[in-house]
Amino acid sequence: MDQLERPQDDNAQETDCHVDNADGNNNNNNRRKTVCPGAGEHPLQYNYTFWYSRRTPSRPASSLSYEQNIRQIGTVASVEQFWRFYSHLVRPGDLSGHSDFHLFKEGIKPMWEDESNRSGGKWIIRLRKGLASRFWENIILAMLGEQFMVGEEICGAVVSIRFQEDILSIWNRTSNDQTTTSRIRDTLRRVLNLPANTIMEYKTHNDSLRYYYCTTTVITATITAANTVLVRLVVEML
Amino acid sequence: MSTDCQKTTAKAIPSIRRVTINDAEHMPHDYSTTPGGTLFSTTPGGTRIIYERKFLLDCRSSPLARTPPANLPVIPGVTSPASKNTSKNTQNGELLNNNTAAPDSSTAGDDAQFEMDI
Repeated sequence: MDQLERPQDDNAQETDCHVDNADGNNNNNNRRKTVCPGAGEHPLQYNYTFWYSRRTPSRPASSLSYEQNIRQIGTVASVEQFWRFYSHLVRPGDLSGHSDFHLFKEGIKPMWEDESNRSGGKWIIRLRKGLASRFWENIILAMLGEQFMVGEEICGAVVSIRFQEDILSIWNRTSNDQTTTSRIRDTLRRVLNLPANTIMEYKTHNDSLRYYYCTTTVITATITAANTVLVRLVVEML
Repeated sequence: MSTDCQKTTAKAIPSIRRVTINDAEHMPHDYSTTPGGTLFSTTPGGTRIIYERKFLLDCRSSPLARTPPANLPVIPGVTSPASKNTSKNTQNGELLNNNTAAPDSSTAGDDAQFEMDI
């Protein structure tokens, strides 16, 4: 799919891990790094990829259209490369409409269906308008700087711009690993300086999936002999 | 070379560093740092690359961090490719918008930190 094709990174400098990735779609298990830190740059513990997605209000959400609406912006392997991209993206607070920025480890797609996310979940933080830019920056700096201390568990972070509120999320691999999820929560409190009374919610992706697929309902109504209406609500799992 | 061997004693890899604070003034001013700096610079069995927020922000001003990435896709309203250079073709064949400067988020981010949230 065109939009998932990695952009050629001409700036990969004199790297021996530079791979000519003309084949486009990287499969999920491909752990080869396609970008390396340049000379004199500070390497990150992991490579990360920036993604952007947007949903036009008229288009209904569905798994297929989500994949088509999300596109890669670039992959970074060093602190300096990160700033190069970040400095040339608008701040989330300035995005219009129903938009998201995602910053995920290289090789992990920011989707529930990705192998790395299937058993995972996310902490979500709802923010009133005006706070997204600052908190997005703080959460990704914490993630890039390995402040969460949960081994390989972090998958990525998302900032979602919505109509009346904005949402920050951080995704991890294993939703039932309570040590990990508690530590992520504690790190979020420490690094984000959230406003008082901010609620953090943990959701497994399975829950999100189940909810998402349950939005279609079929109502059957039966008129009984006594003229009462029996309404049966049937939830169809797609 | 001395002939008598010195026995080395095995020690656990230090995982706790104690920093004594006697004065409230020595506490860090923001919640995201620990007194004496990060305590987690090494992990047993390997080293993890850890950066403090302040360090990452300081890297932003290095010349290596300023040039636009060569392969930045052009998404109006999302990416701001240009400095004041003349327009040039991107890989998509689209002309870059040369009138949008890179967003100045460096000051905005810092100022916002000191805002009072009511």
